[in-house]
Amino acid sequence: MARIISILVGLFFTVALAWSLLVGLFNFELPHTVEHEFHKAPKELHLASDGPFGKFDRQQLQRGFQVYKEVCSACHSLSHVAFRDLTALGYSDAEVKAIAAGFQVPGVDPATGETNTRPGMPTDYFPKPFANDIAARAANNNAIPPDLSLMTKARHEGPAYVYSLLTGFQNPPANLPEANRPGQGLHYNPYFANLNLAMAPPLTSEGQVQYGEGNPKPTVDQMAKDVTAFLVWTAEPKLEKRKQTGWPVLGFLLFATVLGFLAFRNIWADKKKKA
Amino acid sequence: MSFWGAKVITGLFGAIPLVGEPLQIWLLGGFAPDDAALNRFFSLHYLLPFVIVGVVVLHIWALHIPGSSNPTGVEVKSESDTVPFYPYFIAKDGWTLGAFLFLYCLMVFFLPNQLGHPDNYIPANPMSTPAHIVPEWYFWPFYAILRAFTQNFFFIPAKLMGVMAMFGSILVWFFLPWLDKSPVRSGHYRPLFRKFFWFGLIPCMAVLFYCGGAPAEEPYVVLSQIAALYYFAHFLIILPIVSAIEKPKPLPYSITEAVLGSDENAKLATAG
Ligand code: HEC
Repeated sequence: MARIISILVGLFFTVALAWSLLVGLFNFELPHTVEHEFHKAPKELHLASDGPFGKFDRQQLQRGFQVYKEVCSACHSLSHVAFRDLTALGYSDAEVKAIAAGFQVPGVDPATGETNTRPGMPTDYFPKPFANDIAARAANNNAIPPDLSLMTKARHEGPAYVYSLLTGFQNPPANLPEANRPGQGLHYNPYFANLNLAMAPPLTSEGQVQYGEGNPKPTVDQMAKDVTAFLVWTAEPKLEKRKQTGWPVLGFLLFATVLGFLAFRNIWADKKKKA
Repeated sequence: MSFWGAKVITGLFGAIPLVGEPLQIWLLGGFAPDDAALNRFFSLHYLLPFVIVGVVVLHIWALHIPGSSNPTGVEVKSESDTVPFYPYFIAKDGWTLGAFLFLYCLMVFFLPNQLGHPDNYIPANPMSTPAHIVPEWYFWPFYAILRAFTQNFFFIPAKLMGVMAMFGSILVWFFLPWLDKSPVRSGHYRPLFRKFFWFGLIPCMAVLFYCGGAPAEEPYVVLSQIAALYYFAHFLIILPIVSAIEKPKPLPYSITEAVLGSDENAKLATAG
């Protein structure tokens, strides 16, 4: 009886699925969109912080911060990062104070209680470039520049993606269908999911950001790499600590597990022996 | 992504005929996941561990009263079939626990985002739907089953079919004792069952797992339909038939014989 009921229930589900499957096969068509054809996977990118032994290249992070400050911060916020966090890039307390003072952050006038702005302090977080989303949209062709704090974790293959996006602006290929050509205020970039984004190429010419003595030449490629490295840091400032802690933990567990395995073999030896 | 996960999961209640939509709004405390729903999810998630404590008590009861089973599926016959928990099982579980923690810490320290989804680092925004909504990885096989139903089945809407199938795919496990009536408890001695298990169910689960994490487009939809079809056929049609027609291999006399190859007691039993 149970058998018959179960087979009936089974037939109910399988026949329903077979029906979906038949219709699916009848209309079978692999998705073929313009995005599928023109979208590109991110380029390869190697950073000092990659790999199980990776460490940040502090010099590069400072350069990346400079690129963010001088270029990206005009449009993108960095809300999860405070100025004092920058000491991790190798800046001294005095330098951090000076950097913070260079930004205007929202404040309150102590005499009148009215909102105003004041120079930043190390405990302040990076200020937003726009007062609100509406202002951000209005200034950017109806697209909100997303916060960059976690950007390298918020996209597939994040660091490589950001780097590719920054260096991937180009003229649309001749065979790109009319409907997918960049419209007013949009820019063609094959690394972006729908091929056209509202961000104008932010890094356009060598020397746009002046690096200090002893640094590599600020080519577009170099600046893109540096700001990406910086954004990897903002997304996970404790990355080095995580990897450094990992090794002794794994070492201990390996030792304990091998010891445990040998103990297991020893204890079970006489139980598994053939009589 | 969690916002959209919550939306999809609570949306499942909307598939229930007649009362679905009011029920969904009542459960969420609104039209979309918001403060009220978040508070409820939170309450549920700290409450569930206490429910699990109750199940732990059941586990201890089950271990001491009905007793534990064993991989051979043969009842314990004599003292020589058993070993004390300490030191034998402490030692055995000890090193496997170590091996598990090693893999676990490897993920924690070196691949922390491997099983997550990048969209979880984007603030929830009800106005912008992600291109592909996928749940956490351990839900993938069942999510694939949910999405495999693309056509209405007579008067039953596809969505309701999918929801029933998704919950059914888990509920079916609870009916296994009635579905699989084979007198032999271990698959080890059941050649036909083993074939269906290794060449049917395991690949089918792998396909469902993969398709559940993939976008809802071809060829993944058709693949998950084939795999889901097998899934239900396996549990509800194949298992009952296999357990009826299969000729199991001879069982060992006892656990001792299964492990050591021979058992003194077995010889006595056959001699006497
Ligand atoms: C003129 C303003 C502007 C500047 C300067 C600018 N961006 Fe953008 N950015 C935007 C806008 C607008 C978008 C949203 C584009 C869209 O959604 O179409 C965006 C989007 C992005 C994205 C997200 C793309 C995605 O996948 O959604 C990244 C990453 C990014 N910008 C990085 C940068 C970096 C790094 C810099 C500095 C080198 C920078 N941007 C400078 C306006 C700007």
